[in-house]
Amino acid sequence: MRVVIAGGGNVGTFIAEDLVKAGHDVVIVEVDADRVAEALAAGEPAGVQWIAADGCEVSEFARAGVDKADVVAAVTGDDEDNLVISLLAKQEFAVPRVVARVNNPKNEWMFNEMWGVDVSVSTPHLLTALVEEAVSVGSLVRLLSFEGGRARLSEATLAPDSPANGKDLAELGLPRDSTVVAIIRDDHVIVPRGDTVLRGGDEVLVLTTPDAEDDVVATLLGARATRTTES
Amino acid sequence: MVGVLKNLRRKLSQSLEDIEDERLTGRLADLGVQPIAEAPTRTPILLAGEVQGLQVVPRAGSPSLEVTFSDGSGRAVAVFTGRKRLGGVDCGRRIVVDGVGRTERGRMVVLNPAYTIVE
Repeated sequence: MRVVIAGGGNVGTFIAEDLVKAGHDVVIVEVDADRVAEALAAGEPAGVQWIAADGCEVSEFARAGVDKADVVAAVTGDDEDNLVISLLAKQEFAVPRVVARVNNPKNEWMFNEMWGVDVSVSTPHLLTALVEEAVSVGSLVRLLSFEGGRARLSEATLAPDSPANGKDLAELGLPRDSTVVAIIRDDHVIVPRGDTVLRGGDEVLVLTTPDAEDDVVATLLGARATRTTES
Repeated sequence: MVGVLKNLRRKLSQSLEDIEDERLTGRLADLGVQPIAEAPTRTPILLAGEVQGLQVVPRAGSPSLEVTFSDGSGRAVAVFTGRKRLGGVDCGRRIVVDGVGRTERGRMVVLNPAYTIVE
């Protein structure tokens, strides 16, 4: 795949390195010419093509071969720039997949189809979700959103007094718009079936729509349970 | 005489769609723009067509205007994000659209193109 990364800071450089190792064709677009010269002199990361250009300018962005790119990743440290780069990639170059980095979680609501963003990644949200996952028993933690928030992957660790304890999935009666996709018990992944019996301490991964979430919480964790952070 | 009859017979046996396509091709011929069916994606293109449908569709919670136009060879959709209507763009008008196309669910889609109303 041909990947164009806008932003040659730490994030962009690390992503580029990983993608090159995975055998992809990677170009980094960086506005700071000194940074580009420095990276080229050091020869790092190996195999990455650097271009000193402003991704927010169509004519300069075009020099990176964006019209042939399969993916554009806008990962600068500036949310405004990331939005402009995403919109240009979608509107002027019809890039099939545009990934954008959210720096300030307050801006996340704008990172959607209107601005040409297919997937947005917010590091702070991801971190809070992971921290909560480590400390929370008896609450639902949202791990990932898909389809612009229309579907979510959430995780619940069952407390010993959970209403689901000792029931199998068929009698649990989860709402129609949700499904258990995996159960993690004692470091083993159990592929769920109708006759799989849940126990206290199980980590249950559920795919659900936002509407069905309250019912999922009530079914798995009981009425008193809390829901936590968006991610 | 035989020629006239042949022509008449052809007209009578044509499907409605074929007649419509022929009419559109004729109407747009003078613009000299490449046919939609042959237009490449991911490169700046000019397309022309007769507006056949206007639809306001929510995209990520905001309205977008989708203008469907056809030139007899195929159909394309111009998407204008954040708009509910465009003055002068109505069904039956001829428009020329300048943008970059991509294929989305089997349709040719041009996002936020520049447009000219021809008549």
